[in-house]
Amino acid sequence: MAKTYQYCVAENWGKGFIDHVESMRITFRGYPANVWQVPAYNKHGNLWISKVGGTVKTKDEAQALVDAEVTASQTAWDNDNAIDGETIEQKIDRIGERPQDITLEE
Amino acid sequence: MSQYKGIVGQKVVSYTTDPDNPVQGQVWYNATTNTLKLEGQTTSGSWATGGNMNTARRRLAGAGIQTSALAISGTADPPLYNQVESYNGSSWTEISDVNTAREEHAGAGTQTAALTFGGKSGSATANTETWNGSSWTEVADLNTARQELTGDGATNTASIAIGGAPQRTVVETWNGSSWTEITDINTGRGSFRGGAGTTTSALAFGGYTTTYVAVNESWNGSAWTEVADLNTSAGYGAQTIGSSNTNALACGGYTGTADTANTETWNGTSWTEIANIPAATANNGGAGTNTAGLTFGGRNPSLTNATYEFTGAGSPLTQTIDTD
Repeated sequence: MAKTYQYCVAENWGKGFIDHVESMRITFRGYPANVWQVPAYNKHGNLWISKVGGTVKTKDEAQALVDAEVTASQTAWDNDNAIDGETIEQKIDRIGERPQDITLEE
Repeated sequence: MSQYKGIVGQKVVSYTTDPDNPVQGQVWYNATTNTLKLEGQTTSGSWATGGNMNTARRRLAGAGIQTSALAISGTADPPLYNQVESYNGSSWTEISDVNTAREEHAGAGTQTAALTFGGKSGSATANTETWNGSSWTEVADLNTARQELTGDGATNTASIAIGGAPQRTVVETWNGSSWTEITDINTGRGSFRGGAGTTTSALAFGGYTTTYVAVNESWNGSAWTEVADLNTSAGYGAQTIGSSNTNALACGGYTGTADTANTETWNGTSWTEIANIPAATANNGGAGTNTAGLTFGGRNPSLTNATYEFTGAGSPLTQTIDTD
């Protein structure tokens, strides 16, 4: 099955990383660990990856990077028991919901 | 086929830098970048990255417009930050700190005349501070200390504080010297997906009751009315993007199962889904309007310092003409 998306790792440097013309031409999805998804087999997606100096990753490689960062966030959430006797609801109120797993698309 | 000269009356001009004020439809050649350029317009709403904040944080407040905004306080789980940053359309600069570091608070006003109020500083606070462009000053407290409220307002002398956790219906307005309780919202809630407007024309949408809701309420200066729901139920989105009860942008937030990149625009009658933020983000700050919006900071799920600028359809846009 032909893939729909391609992935790369690129650090968002700020202004100009994604511009409005690029944003109108293709759909970007950013994920943890500086993983970015753009359409596969797409000239504008390829040009953007080149512009930002992105390192192309397979979907599985990208998923592993995302999983590592999400797992780290989940572990930090689980280990944050700074207040004795705190209920789950109180913990959520204090630090927010536990980060959810993220599944990348092919 | 007509040529450019036949339509415009002159050949395509070559410049070494892009012209300062191109007119709609103007085409030129940039001899430095060897590109053909067109002054067009956005055909749909779109997001672009803005300058990154200096300090990544979430549960922060915003004020101002897309090219002239403030990011106020917030948290890194911990510490609480009292830092404030100012945005000029390209980059963020640290300016004077607030006196009380806080999270889940609200912001209102402009880059040079702002207000921040409520939130949590260890516990729920009623503390209010006003910004005059050079320093923050503590002023009269809210009548009801609360966190996870939403609010907005055109200046630091006319702001509105709406709801808050847990399931509060209370609404207060600020006149420059004191807070006054006014008509309650219909659905008590906190953790709003967003709020927008002024003391006489406001909107409060989404949030958390005992679940994440799509409820949307409109304020006309005398009564709150339930109007069309959001398409996506969520809380913890960017506050303060919108100028009235007919102009608001909902972007990001938490749906109850995941952080979302969903973005919706409000025209006074209905919400329309438009281009998503490039990255799903919750607990983000916001400023601007539904045609020139700004969101910054938040989590996804780690803390982020990213800034995204939203431009609505029909805005001027310089494009490179693809000659391949």
